Amino acid sequence: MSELFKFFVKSKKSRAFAPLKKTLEQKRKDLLAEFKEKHEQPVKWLEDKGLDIEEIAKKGSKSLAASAFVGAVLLGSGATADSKPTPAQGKVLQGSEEKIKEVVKVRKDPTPEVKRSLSKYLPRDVRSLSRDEERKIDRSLSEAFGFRVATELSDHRLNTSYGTIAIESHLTRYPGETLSEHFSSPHEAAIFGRFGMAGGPGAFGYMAPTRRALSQEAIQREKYYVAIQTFLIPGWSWQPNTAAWYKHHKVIVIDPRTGKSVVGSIAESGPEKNTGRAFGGSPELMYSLGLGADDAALILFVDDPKDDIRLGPV
Amino acid sequence: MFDIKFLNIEKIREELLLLELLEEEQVELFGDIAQAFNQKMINVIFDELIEEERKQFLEKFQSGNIGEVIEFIRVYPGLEEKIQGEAQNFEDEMILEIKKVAVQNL
Repeated sequence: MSELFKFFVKSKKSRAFAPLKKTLEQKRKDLLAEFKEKHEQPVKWLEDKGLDIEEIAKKGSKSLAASAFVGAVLLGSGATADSKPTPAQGKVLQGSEEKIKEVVKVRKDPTPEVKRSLSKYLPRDVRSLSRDEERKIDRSLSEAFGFRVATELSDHRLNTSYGTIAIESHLTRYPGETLSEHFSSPHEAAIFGRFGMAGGPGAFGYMAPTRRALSQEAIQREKYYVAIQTFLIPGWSWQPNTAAWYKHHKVIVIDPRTGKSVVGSIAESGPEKNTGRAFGGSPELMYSLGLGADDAALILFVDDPKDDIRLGPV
Repeated sequence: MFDIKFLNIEKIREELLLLELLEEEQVELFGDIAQAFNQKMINVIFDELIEEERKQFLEKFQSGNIGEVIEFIRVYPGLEEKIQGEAQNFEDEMILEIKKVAVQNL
């Protein structure tokens, strides 16, 4: 091929460029719209500070374009391009990490301490705990987690705190929701889709009246929901005062074998007594703990009056 | 920002190269991919955080300090794994889009 011919070929824009650019721009717009719809508060907070989420997402994008450029140069010179940070980027990273250690408080993983406490205080056979066992467990686990957890809170207690747990199906979060609308990504759908969806809301009602009204908090509540046997709780009643206390009350679900724990939200009544199981957990909650059906779990109330503790794996 | 750590740039570049794009076109498209990827990752991270943490995260992100952002992700329980899964989905989706365009241009 002559140099002149090469020049003309190289000057011609690729036919692939325009449609690909259009697709990418649409993708970005869709993601931005999804963000703005879901997260009104942070968007407003940013606006108050004179910032725009779109600009923020654009800000970091120079690195990839720069990498592409560096890559093109390297390929042109016959060298192998590497997607790892360049020495300059590495230096920035290293410097930042030193700075971060001062400002980011690393969370201590409570799992080993929880496991140690439970091996000491939890009975080997799965049964209801004595008051003395409960007191010891409440105290040691509250210390391990750094927030108060209790088998009894505000005069409320479950029929049992220690028992076997069932894997529940997903709850319908708002009227008319289908399984295909339930997941935030194909990845989630691939893992959790097989557990199906209950034909209606949990015993405490829908998480939101409509799809549009579904908040991030409501999504998390369903994602990490817990079923308790309300009908076996002494003195239980669906009277507003009692039911309102339990509705979406945070509980901590612990796998005593591993010490792993997840903060969940009470959203369903069950399982039936004749199943022999004491609690139920959402597919996501059970997956996070690595629990299977009929494994034992310990459940305690979380004392979180200011709503500071996030739902999900601890 | 996120692309340095979480996105397999080489894999996407290989696909783009098959489209015989000019260097400037590659760079422009990589910029678009990065913007979409950053937005996607912000969405994913926001789904995991509570309100106060979201503000903390945005402050770190908008400061442009990648080290702080990565450290935030690293220390937050389960976040890095979640991002890696979503980054893989994004990568697969991008490659599929590039392949679609390639087929259209045959």
